[in-house]
Amino acid sequence: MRKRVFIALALVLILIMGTTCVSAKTVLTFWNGYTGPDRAVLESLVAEFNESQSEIEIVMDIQPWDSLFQKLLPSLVIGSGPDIAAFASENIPQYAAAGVLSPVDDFYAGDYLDVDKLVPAAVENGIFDGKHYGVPMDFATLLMYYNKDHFAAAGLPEEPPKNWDEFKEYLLKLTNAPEQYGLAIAVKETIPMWPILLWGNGGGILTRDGEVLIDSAETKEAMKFWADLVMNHKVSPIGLTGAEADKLFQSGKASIEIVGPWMTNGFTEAGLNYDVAPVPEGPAGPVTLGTSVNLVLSKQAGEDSQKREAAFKFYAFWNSPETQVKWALGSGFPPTRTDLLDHPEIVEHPWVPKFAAVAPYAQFYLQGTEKFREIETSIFVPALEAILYGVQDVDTALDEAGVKLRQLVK
Amino acid sequence: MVKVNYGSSRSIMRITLIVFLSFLAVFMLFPFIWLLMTSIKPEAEIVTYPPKLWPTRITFKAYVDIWKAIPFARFFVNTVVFACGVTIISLLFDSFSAYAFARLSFPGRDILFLVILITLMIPFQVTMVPLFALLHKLGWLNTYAALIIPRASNAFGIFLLRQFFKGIPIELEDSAFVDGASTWCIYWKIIMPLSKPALATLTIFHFMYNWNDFLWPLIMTTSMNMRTLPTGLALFMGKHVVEYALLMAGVVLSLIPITAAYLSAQKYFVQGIAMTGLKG
Amino acid sequence: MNISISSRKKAVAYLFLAPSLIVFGVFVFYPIGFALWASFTDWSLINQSPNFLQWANYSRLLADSRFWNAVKNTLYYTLGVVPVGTVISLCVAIAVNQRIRGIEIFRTIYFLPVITSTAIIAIVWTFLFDPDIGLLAYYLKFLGFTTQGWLRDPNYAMPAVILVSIWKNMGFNMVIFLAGLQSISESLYEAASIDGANSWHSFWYVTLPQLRPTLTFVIVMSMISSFQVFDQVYVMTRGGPLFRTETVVQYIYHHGFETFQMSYASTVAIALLLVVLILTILQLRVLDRDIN
Repeated sequence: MRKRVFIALALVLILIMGTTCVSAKTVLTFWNGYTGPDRAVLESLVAEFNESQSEIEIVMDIQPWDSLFQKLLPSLVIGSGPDIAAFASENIPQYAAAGVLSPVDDFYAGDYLDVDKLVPAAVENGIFDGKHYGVPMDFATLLMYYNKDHFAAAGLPEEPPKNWDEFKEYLLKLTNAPEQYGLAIAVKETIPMWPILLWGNGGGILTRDGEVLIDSAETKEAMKFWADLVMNHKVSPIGLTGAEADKLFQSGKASIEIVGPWMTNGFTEAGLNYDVAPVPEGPAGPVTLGTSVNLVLSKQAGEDSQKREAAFKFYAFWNSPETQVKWALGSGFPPTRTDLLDHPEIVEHPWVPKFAAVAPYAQFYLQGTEKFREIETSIFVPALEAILYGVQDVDTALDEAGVKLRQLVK
Repeated sequence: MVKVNYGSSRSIMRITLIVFLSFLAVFMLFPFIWLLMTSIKPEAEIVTYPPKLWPTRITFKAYVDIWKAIPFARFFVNTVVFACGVTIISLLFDSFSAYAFARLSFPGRDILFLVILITLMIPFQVTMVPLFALLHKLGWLNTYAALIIPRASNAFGIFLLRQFFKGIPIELEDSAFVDGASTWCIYWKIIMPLSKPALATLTIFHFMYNWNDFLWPLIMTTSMNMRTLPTGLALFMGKHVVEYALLMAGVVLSLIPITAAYLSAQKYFVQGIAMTGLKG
Repeated sequence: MNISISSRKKAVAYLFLAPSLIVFGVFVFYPIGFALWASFTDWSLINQSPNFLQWANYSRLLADSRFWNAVKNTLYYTLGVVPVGTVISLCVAIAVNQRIRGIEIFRTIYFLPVITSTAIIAIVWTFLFDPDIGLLAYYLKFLGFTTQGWLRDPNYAMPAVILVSIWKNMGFNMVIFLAGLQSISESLYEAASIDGANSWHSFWYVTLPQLRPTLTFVIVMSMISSFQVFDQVYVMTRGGPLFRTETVVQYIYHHGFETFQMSYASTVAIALLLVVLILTILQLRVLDRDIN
């Protein structure tokens, strides 16, 4: 009797071990910050990936970006971090320098995906120290949203402004502070808006190669032009955060806002009669901001060949034409691929093609430097505030910022 | 307070008091009214100019959607376990220490008390990383143990109860001591029952502080199913887009248990202390 | 066996203290010790092989004008919140301690801000303070006031944050004072009124002295937590505009999570700890004399 029980138990044990071995899925933990309305789209696409095959399961953990950044680096360093993560490409240098990321050059060299179809800027900004660390997850550009009713009420033509002179003219006619502002432009806690105005004149803050532009003549010129409009003609309130600028446009108190594709749902729901157009060209030509969240692979996961393979398959799935169409239609972001612009569903979308169309001249902000966060919060935004609040004049503020910046990136 | 009969001037005082309290109540309540109204407005009505307090259309969509939008029930359970666990254990540990500081004499008592107060003086931002590494080494990350045990005692509670215990007349303990009662007996049978208002107060504080704590549970958990309500609600806050209706609905729902806890503890605030021991 | 009474008493005392001390030892003093160690090195998450820097971080701190700005802002905040907040809470506690029917409703209303999370409160107030689409500015317009926006104005941002903190904490201190008031024996008041005392005398000679331990607690705790204010500032202003609301902990956050110089952040934290410790010792010495 005991012998039979023993055999039965042994069989059960073997069965259990057998099934667990057979159904050994590769589980990849994936941390990102897609809170808000985009979360639903992301979750459904990841679920689709999980259901489409039985070898890999992606388990996501979503937190707001702020707290994600507080937690991610310590976790990766200590070894309790995720296998893959996604964050804006400007963060890659910091993490790569900390040694917690695994280079993914073999993804680009392999045939997981036709990588030449990916938006070049999104790929380039995932490179650090000569190696690829990121694979694009999203790509966004900023366009000028404008309120058509305001234009009509101010007696302006339906056509939006195309260059800075027209822009100035429109803004002056649209502004009747504090009842209505021509422009809602944010200074802090925002997707960068002011840098676009500096780039428009050939200025800037810091190039990818480390050239300091913040105190160049072009930057000062651009700054003076716009500071005059904001401070003296009150075309925009001062000191706005990104969320406040959005709310200003959404409530109909501002006529123009330069922001990304994520706002279209909110603005449409609010019943605004609006459209988007490229940001008016400055003297240096057309330019706008591009931004890309990149997928990164942790060093730990990268050393496990099964996990590495699984991650690459997920990256390929995410950037495949089918997934990107669904992502674009669901989130309003342009796709990460350049070959979908003729896709029938994309073409019909009211906004995606427009955001995608400006990709060729979209510049990225403060890429390739580990110190980008410090530059933004300690140098650029304070200089901007000092100017706009009238504490310092443009030349002094930008010269000082230039000194600090050179010191920092030495 | 003493009831002294001054006739009509007392009613005037009473009326002025009610008026003052009512104005204050409006000031206190106003943001909550906004919060509540926002939770029942359609999303399009929340950001408008001119701003309107009252909705033109009432919808409870947010309250329905929130259960699907995030695993609200799971977060709720986790928060209950976390907050209750910390509160109960903390009440015990804090009162033990508070009694020692208030009534027992031992060398280094005052220095040790100061040392304990030091635990309040260092911000979480710098203790977070070493603590995180320690809990990882212990293998506790993503468990209730990691959430509760580091919080099993805290200086705030010790300080509060120490002050309260110090205010209890010493004659009560002296007579019990003379009657041969042990320290534990005095602590458990005399001091604790007399301290109901302070204990009730501390219960509310511990419960509420941990119920609302955002950063601690976020950092110490590594998967969604161990998260608590505040982190759940944070999922409605994007960098640019805040889903106000859902967020405010979540806030209202999460306020209900704490308010209930507060209301049930209220009666201990009202209860005066029967100082029969003294009078007798 | 002849264990002396005093050593048994000591043993009992330590036994009572043991649970708390163990928890603190492992989970609080170890991280504090780590922070202290880190403040003498250049440790950061990115640089895992730190060098010993001796006093370099501290001398950097003394010369750091942004640090001193943060100290100034924190003092401004503390002086704004603690005295006013304490007095208001005490008055309200006395007011709601009356045996009037329905007084519990007021108590509950005043406590609502306390049981709501600080981050949510900050979000709500930020919306209300918005000069363009917020209700406060809108209502004030009818009274004839216009504003550029409190949180966007370098001079009014800190007062706005102070207001929100007082609003939030009033109920907290009120409840503590209530617990203290409730435990004052009626017989003391009766004795006083027999001796001919009016309400003001009762307050001054019975209430206040009996409340001293509670008062000490409220003042010391308010001071300690005001020095460490973070959540409201982070959500409402992020330390701006122009660093006018940057408090010490906000600055610690900057170095801990924006420049990733954790060791310098620890230095600032240790300095803060020393300041708060000294102030606490002084306050306890003045306020916490035994009343029995």
